[in-house]
Amino acid sequence: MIVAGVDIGSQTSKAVVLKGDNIYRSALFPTGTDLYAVARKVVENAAQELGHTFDDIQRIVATGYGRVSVPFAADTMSEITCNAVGAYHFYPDARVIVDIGGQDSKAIKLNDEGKVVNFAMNDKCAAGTGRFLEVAAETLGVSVAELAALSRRSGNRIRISSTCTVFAQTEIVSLIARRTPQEDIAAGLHESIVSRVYGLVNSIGPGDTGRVVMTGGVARNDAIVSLLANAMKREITVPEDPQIVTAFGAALVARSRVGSE
Amino acid sequence: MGTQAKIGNRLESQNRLGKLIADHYQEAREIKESGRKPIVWTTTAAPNEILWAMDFCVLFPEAYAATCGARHAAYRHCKITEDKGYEHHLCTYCRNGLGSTLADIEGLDPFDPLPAPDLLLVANNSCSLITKWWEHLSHYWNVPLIHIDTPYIIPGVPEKDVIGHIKNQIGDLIRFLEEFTGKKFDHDRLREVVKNGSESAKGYTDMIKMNKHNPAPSTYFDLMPHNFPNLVLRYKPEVADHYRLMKQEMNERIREGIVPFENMKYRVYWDGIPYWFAMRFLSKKLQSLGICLVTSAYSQLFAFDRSDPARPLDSVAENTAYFYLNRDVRYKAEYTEQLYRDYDLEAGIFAYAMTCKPFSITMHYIADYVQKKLGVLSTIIEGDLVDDTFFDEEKTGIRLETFAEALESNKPSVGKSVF
Repeated sequence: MIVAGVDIGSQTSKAVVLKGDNIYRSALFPTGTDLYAVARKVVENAAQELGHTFDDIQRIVATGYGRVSVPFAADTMSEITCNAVGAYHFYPDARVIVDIGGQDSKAIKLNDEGKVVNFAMNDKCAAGTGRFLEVAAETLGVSVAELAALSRRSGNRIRISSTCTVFAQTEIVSLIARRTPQEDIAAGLHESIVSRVYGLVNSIGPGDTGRVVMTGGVARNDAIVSLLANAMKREITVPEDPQIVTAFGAALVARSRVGSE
Repeated sequence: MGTQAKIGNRLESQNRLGKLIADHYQEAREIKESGRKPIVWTTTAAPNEILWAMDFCVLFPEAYAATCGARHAAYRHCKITEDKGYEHHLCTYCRNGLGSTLADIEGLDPFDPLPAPDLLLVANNSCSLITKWWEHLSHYWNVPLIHIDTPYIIPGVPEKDVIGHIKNQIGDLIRFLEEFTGKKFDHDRLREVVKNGSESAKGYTDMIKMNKHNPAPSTYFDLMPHNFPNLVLRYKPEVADHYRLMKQEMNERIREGIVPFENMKYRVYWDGIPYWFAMRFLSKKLQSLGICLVTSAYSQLFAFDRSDPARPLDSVAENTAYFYLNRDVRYKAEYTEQLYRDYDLEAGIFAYAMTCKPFSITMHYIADYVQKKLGVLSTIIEGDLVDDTFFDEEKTGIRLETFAEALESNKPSVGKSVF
């Protein structure tokens, strides 16, 4: 049985094509403006990686912001549910998932059966998301990866008071003007994101047992992961490919529904 | 609750409500033109029976704000206040009210403006900001403002003292109004007004309770606008008839097995002031997910159920003191828990209003409280009273979809597998 999950995010589109229980390949492209085209392309690429074609796929489930623009998907499902299904598959002891994507962040609480029992999303602004780090990195003239490296070298983390992405830019410029070391600014920016996300995680009542899993593109940023782990006083597990967990969950949902109609 | 065969059309009572509202505003405009009565602008739970007993034309800027929101006109008024330098995060009922006032005074074409007031009455039991809003109105319109101070009913505060304090102020209000109008206050008329109010209140609360039936004959969003008559017109005897006819209509639905929409799956609680501009979006979205909103503590804001013609002044003071928003958070949480039990609710949607902090601040506590007490799922959505710039359809849609998916997967029949 070959199925696929496609996750059309605000910045990146991801697909997982799953064969049998555990054989899978993934693909990832910037979302751009033609959602249908990118959805088709990302699924085709993942299928090819697996040595198959688009037509070999028996069922596709779409998720993410662009899920309604995927006419070839049999079903759509919210990214929170797909993320939960995906993370629980990899880590059956996962009880809290923190997902930080391009323009949103989410916290999900699972019960022992992997069902969503509580969740929260960031409000209508980019504070506490990947976009915040991108804008900050651009303002400092470094890449996001360099920003994380700078942060780790800081000896004097300063506080960025602006949680708003736009105002943070102004604050960074004024910090540069005051000759604040880049490392300290970078550390302050990471702290700012983590402070927002930590509030989000606490709002779901994360408890103090079970594995905490972090997914989404920002999970690749180890400075964020370790700061959040410190704040939560818990270890955080990052899957090998944190960006495709939601698409993987969508593929699992597709698999569970093959032949259900 | 399973799929039902008979789907109800719009309640006939909605048409009657539309006429009651239109007639009210038409009458207010005529009164302004003729000058036959003084006009007072008041707040939701001020001792308004006193005004009706004195034959004032009584108008409610908060209800007007909701109308402007629902008619997608509030942004015009909000923009005017922002242009004057009021900040974006200020309560948008307030911004709407000040904006329409400024537009009216400056000839800027407000949306169906309330006829200008001769007097303002404010009670701070609904909100900690509202007195400041009314102060501004008083300055802009250059008319007197009367303030009724309503201490919170919280543990440790002797309730008798609070009621006595309010009753004393009602006495002061009566003396002021006698001087203002040159008329003697008529206590017999007050008794009649309170009697009409008590019958209206009983009709209103009985009508709301019809949704205890499973399946519910109406969605909460269908019932919710019917708070208007009990808020604005309860001094009139015909308002009780409105609720009697409405209850009759809902009873017929129950008898005939008629439900508001197809595929109703979940009985869900709503908390918070509705996002007036997004009612259509929310209704459609919730219906598409099989979510039937059954009731809300918001209904209780308009109950005025202590009205008693045998004790007119005392009961008016009690309605003012015991107004739902004047109660402490624990009371609200317990009241909400009881609603879940009485209405057999399985989950809750909490509608956080970004510019209404006094109302919204309690939501996390209440959502958490019922979740822990009853093991039910809650979700908090974010938006605003009348300003759609605080609302994101996509994000709200995802939250509601996830909420419905979680409700589905948590059903015992689904078993151990997630899907």
